[in-house]
Amino acid sequence: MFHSPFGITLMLSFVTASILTLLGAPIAYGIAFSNRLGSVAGEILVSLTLVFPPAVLGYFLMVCFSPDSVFGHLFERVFGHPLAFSFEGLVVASIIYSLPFAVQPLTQSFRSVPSSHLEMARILGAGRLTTFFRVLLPISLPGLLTGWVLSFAHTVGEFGVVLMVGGNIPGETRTLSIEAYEDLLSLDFANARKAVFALLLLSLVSLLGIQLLNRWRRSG
Amino acid sequence: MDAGKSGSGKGNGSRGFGILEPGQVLWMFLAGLLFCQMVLPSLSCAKDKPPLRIAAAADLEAILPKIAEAFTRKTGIPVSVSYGSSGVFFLQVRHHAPFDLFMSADAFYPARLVRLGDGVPGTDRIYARGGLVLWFSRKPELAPGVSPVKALSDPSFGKIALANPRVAPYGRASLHCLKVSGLVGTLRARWVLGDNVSQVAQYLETGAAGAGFLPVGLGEKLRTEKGWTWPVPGSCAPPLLQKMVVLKTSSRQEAAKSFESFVTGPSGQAFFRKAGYGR
Repeated sequence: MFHSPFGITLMLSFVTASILTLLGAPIAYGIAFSNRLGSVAGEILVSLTLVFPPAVLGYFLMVCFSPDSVFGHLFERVFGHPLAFSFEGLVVASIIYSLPFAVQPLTQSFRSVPSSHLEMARILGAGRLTTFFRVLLPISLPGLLTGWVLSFAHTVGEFGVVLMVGGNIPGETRTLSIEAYEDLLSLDFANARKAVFALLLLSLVSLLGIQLLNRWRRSG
Repeated sequence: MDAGKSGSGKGNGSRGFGILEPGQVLWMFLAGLLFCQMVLPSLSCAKDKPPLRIAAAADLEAILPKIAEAFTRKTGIPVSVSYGSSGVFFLQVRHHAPFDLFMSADAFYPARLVRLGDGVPGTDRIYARGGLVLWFSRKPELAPGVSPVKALSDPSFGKIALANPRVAPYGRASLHCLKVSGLVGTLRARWVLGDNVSQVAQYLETGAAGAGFLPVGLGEKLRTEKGWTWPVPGSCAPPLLQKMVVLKTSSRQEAAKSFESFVTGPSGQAFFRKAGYGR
């Protein structure tokens, strides 16, 4: 199951979205509450991957992950295998690639929290951390979950980065989108239909999740 | 501290945000991560009998599965093949992609890998002599003695598909044929470039292009009931020497070498001959 393209895609998207949500909260906090210059710089930096061609980004990541680079070498020393062309490499690449999708909804959510709420909490004696976890995050929960679903969906459809960093290795880094592409190009339409159907299913579930979240947010 | 936590949770609930507490969400994520941590090793760890990993040029998609199957039947070594552009694989091998053998669509990349120290010296061997076919959506009407390549200038064929000459060896050969025939100037506005030969086959299969250049192997695979193919003679496009090379990072160089011997041996070559390749 976990070696099938479907299993790999599902696992990759789940792990990526989850790590991104944890990682995205402090980043979004930084962007939402720093001074104007810092927040502009942060937002540009986070959104850089939106405009960068995926295959080019993938190439740069592959170079960074290869054992020839300092980072890749360090990873190999610690974990015993190179980061490039492994599932872990795909996870790190997807985190970078899908970063804006997790951070942006959360930043919007943070910004829409009335500052009086936060000031009130501080006046009543709550520390910064307590305010973050007990006031800001609960109010922004829909944004947090939207970020999770969006980055999940974005990772499902990822193609160029995965092809470059992963190397299309069956059972390890061949995801559904690569499988669908390969089946289509090799004129194997029967298998392509299966892969496309699975992709469609995952997309529909994610999009349904976003709709439900929006509904919840409006009612909440 | 704990009592305070649950208290604030209830407070959130009454404000309409409390289907899940942030603490619960955090725990769900942590549990998910833990679950993945348990499953991940099974993903990345070497299996009992790891397959021989081959990175193969896209033109082999029609023929290599059969060869690999015959090889596995004979030796018991499982084979897993990734298909793609020779150029992309070259880049990936340069950065230690975990392949054992690289089968390129030309002789340039394998020889270069040996020179750069990523290929095992002496293992870059020619495995096929690839030729081109010119595929037309219908049989072109030609005056006797006129080369079918001239029919490309007939605008009723629509777009002309070839692989991108800058990244695909077969694309270079196609461009060479057009140049020799003096058609580059008139056709430039009508051609579409595929990233690799598989994409060209797809353009032709779907009817997006009315004519195009394909490797012989893929030309066979493309539905023969529609369309008409013409084998491009060596005078128009010189045959492509296709080389393979065992990679230095491979831990299974012996198995890779035995695959090389199988491919260049009589049983492997029979597959190529059947698909229209020369040797």
